[in-house]
Amino acid sequence: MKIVVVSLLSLMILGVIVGSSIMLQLLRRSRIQEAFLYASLIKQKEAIQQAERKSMNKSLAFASASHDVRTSLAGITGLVELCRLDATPNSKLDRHLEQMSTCASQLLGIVNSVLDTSKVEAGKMQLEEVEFDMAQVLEESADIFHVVALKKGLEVIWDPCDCSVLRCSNVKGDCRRLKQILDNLLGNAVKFTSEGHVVVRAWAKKPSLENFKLSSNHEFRFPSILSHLTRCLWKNETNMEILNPVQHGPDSVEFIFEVEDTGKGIPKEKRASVFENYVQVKETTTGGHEGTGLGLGIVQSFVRLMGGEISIKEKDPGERGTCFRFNIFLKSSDASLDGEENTNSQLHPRNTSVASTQLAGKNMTAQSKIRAMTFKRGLQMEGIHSLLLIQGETKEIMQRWMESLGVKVWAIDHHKLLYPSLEKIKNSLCASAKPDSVSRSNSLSRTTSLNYNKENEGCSSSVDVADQTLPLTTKERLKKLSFSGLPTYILIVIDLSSGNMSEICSILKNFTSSIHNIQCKIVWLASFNTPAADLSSSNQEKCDLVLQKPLHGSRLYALLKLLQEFGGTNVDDPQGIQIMNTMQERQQSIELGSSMDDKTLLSNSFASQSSQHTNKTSGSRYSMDDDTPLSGMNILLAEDMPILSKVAKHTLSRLGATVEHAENGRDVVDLVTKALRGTSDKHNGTAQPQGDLKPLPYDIILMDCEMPIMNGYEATRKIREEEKYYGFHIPIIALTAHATPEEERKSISAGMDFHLTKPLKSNELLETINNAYQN
Amino acid sequence: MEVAHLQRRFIDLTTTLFQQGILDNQFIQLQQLQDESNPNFVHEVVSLFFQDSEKLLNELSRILDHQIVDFKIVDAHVHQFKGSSASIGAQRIKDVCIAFRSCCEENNRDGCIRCLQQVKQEYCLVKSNLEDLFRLEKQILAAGGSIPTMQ
Repeated sequence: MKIVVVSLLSLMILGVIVGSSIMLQLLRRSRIQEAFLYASLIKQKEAIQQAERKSMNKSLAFASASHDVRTSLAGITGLVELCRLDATPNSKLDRHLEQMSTCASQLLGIVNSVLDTSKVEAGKMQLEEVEFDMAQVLEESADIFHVVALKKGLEVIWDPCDCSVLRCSNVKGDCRRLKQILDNLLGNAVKFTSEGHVVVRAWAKKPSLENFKLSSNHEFRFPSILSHLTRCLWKNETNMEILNPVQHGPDSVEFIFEVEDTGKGIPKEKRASVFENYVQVKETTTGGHEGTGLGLGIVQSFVRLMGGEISIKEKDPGERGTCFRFNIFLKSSDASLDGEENTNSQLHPRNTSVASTQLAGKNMTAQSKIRAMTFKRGLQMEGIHSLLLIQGETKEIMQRWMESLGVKVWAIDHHKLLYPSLEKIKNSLCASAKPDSVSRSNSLSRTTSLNYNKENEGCSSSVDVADQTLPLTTKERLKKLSFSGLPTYILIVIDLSSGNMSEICSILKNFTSSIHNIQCKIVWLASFNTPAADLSSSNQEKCDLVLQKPLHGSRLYALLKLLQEFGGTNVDDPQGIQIMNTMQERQQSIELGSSMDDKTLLSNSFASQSSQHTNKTSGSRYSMDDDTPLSGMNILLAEDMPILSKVAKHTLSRLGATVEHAENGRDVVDLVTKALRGTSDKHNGTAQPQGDLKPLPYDIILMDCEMPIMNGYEATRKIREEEKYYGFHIPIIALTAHATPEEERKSISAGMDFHLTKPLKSNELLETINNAYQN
Repeated sequence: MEVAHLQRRFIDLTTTLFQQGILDNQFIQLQQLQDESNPNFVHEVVSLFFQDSEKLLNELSRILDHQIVDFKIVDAHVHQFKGSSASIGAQRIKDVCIAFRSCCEENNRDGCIRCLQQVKQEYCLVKSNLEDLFRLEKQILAAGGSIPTMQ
């Protein structure tokens, strides 16, 4: 017995010893491994740091080299210009020099882009701040790539989602870099997709700081361990610090973009490395760009600079392709609307011309503001049914947009379904009762809820004003009120490439003739490659609007206006009046083209809008030049060629000025001399003090340089001599065919104040006159 | 009916003219100057241009027919032609005029004759295209439609 126990015990002890020795072995091995790992980790870290330092040094070296490169380039450009001064214009030498200067500026552009990248790396990148229109930028980029993609049979569309972008379109930020980002992503998408579509989505929202407050509260719920608490607090602080610097300001807006395509897709393993591509020179983009592309790495840096982040989103299972999503923060410039009102109300009649030319320069932003307001207003009527016969992704986008506006949409993609759908609409029409007369307040509140539940995320602009539609006539009110189920207006949108035009047209004709008391509008969608043959057998009666694909931006605006027109022809009154209200001008009636003292941009743009809308189909046109900043000015035009003088006279009178015409130098001098003598007689020849309010006989003289009998230079010299007796100085603008420095010198030595090239362009003229009156 | 078809042709023609550089932005400016108070402005200016140009081109042919040419006069005429074509936006004519002027400076009679031929060709092109455009406009208006405006 005892032997067994003893032997068992000894066995156990042996086992323990063996076991522990094995354990010790293992431990030792693992410790050695650990030591190795530590060593290699340290080595890796050092290697990384060294690599980072190398790249940092490279960027720094690049950045400093940039100065030298740019100086040399500037030297070359300057010397080329100097040579051009001495070359005879339009000679071979001059043309060669011009080409050299173009090459030099191109080179400068490339160098700048490459150096941009090194500046970003070296942390010295500065973002520009300019005002621009986000909707327009998106539209331009989408349009450019649409044409490119069309060759591959792809569709490139911009999906406005909830139209928040169209509402908050005016922003301040770095327009150029944003364009580069978009163009790069779109270019890649088009490159790697062979069929399907590329969609750009954008939406805007106000970044809420409440998220952070929430998370901080959340952390506070773990007070159990003090160290936890302090750690959470500390983390909180750093989170807020890191995130706050970018999202400051009450007027910053977050824009989220998605570029999605149905192409090859990027496998998961490669997604991280995709952003490591560096500069890729030579992505040709048309129109205004520097001409060099940037790799996704730079795109990432730019996005980060603007306070956002870019990533590849996971698409739904079963869908192929890639989806890039990024967000940036920009400052909204809609708040500046108030600032402009004040400057407007303080206009002095005399200074109107000056201030209005500044306004003319701001035409673009005013226009986009009008557009933004149209989108904010949305549709204030119900009962609109819309039938869409469109191919591709555009159909979904259109459907979503129209449904968000409260329109009932019937979407089909094959022309065979056209007839049955139209029948369905007709049937629902016939089963109608009379429209109820809902009270006005009711309708307003309903429409407000329709339009403005999305406004919570929208921009802070004069939203209330958009509500104030002026008192409408009862007839219009009744028209606007109807059950949402009843079709009272019908909009039909047909893509011209749907095939079988003759059948479609005959069906449409039957339909329009069978509905009598319903307003029906028809919109055709054309694209760049719609064959004209498709319409050769068309016997379509109505065509309210022809829009070009891709359907976005300004074309959506046109469509929206068409829809708004359903309420009656006076739809533009509320809009024009709306603008008047926001600008806080005359609260009273709107007089078309009446002689108000301060004829500002607003009343005239309103006048132009209503005159354009007498023709409903011109709803897509919103030209910029229908203001009269030169009203009250007396301009003397000296021009011998009949065509040029006709065009110039018309341009000037369009801008509101009174024009007198002289055909050669001698006549000009005669006219001016007579006028000078006439004015001075009025004032009994007393010396007039210098100042802006002097009664000049002519406010401006536009002098053509080459005229028969006496040329422009000679005439100017004579005029200046006459002026000396009276103490006047009439601004004289020279008109020449070429703008060489030599011509400039000649005109200045003759006594002219400014000079412009023929043919006369209104914006240049306005700018020059503005300058003339600021001195 | 006809209207949509005509409007389509109008858009096509205008687009082609701009793409080929036969017309440029100045033509759009002219169109923008046309309104209710001047409904025929573009037509008037263009007719003036045709009359003027034909006179000029005949003059130029006559002068260059002789062996001895006064290049200063030729230059003056070409300058005038360049100015008027620029003012209606006839871009290609304007470009040829520029080349024409350099031939004048070099007193190169053969070069001038060649340029004259080119100018005449470009002019005929512009003239026939603009006439087509105006005819289409008339037809569209007569059929009750309206002139589609370009985006």
